[in-house]
Amino acid sequence: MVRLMMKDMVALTFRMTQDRDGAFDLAQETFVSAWQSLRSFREEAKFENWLYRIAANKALNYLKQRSRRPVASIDSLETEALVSGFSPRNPEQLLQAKEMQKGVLEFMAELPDQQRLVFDLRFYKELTFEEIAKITGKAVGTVKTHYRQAIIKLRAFAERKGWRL
Amino acid sequence: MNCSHFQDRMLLMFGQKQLPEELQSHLAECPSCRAVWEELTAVSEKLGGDDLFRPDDLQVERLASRVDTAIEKIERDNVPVMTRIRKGWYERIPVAAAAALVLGIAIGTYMAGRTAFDTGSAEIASDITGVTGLYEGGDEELQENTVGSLIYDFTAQHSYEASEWLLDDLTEEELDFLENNFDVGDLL
Repeated sequence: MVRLMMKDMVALTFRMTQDRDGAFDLAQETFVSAWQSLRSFREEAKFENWLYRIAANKALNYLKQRSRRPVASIDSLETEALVSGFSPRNPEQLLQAKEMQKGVLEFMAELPDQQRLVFDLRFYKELTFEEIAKITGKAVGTVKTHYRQAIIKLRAFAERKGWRL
Repeated sequence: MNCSHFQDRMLLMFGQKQLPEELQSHLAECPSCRAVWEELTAVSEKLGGDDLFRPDDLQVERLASRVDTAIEKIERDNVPVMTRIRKGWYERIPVAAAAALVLGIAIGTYMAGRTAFDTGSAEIASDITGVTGLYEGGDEELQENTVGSLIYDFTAQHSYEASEWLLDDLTEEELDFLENNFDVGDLL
C-alpha cells in the first residue's frame, strides 16, 4: 500500500514542482512526516487525502522557498525517468506518452501554485471539491474558482496547441 | 437556466466521466453546449492520467528504502538510553559479565583491605592503651617516646584516614592523655 501511495505522491509532487529530484525528496519527506505525526491523523479522514495534504504543503513550501515556478522550457524537464513508470506497448506509444507529459507540464507551469494544486487534485486525483477544500484549507467556493480559472486557461492553451482538432 | 449557466457547470465538471442528470438532459437538446462539452472532453484526453507521471517499481523501491532509512534514524535518535540498552540487552551480555567481574574484584579487594585495616587499627589502639597504662605506673619519658612512635608508625602505614579509626577505639581518658602530652593534631 505504501508503495502504491508513493507512486501517487511522486506523481503529484512532480507535476507541482516539475523537478524530478525535488519530487522524490518531497515524496520521501511526506512519508517521514506522516510517520512522525501519525497520532494526529483522524480516522474519519481518508488516509490518502491526509498524505496529499502533507505532500501539497511540502510542494507549496518548496516552490515558495526556492522562489521558482515550474519551468515551462520543455528541454529542461527531466521527464525521461518518470515515463518509465508508464508501460507503453510500442515506441510510438512511448513517444506519444512523452509528448503528452510535455504538454501537461507546459500547461501546468503556466498556472499559479494554488490553481495548479487544485487542478491536479481534481483532475488527476479525482477528488471532490469538498475534499480538496479540506486538503488545501480553502473554502469550497475558492477551490471551485481556482478550478474554473484553470480550465479556462487550459482551453486557451489547447487552442494554441491545436489540441481541439 | 440558460446555456451560460450550464457551460459554467461544465467547466467544473471537466474531467468527470459521470455528469449530473440535469446537465445530461441539457446537452441532449442543446447543440452549442454539446459542442463545448465535446471540446472539453477532447482536451481532457490530451492530459492523460495520473499513471503517466508515476515512477516505476525500481524507483519506488529506492524511495521506500530511503524512507525506511530516514525513519530508522529518527527512531534511533529518539529512543531513550535505557530503552536502547533494554532493546539490545542480549548483545551486551559479554560486556555486562566483564563489568561485573571487574566490579567484583574491586569490591573484594576493597573489603579485604578494610578488614585488614580494622584489625591493624585495633591492635595499635590496644598498644596505646597499654602504654597509657604504663604511664599510670610511672616512667614518663619512656611512655612519651613509645606512644609517639606508635602513632607515628601507625599514621605512616595507614595514611590520614587511620587517625579516625585510631581515635574511635580509644576511651575518653586515653584521648585526654594524648591531647595533654602530645601534639596529636600534627601527628594525626
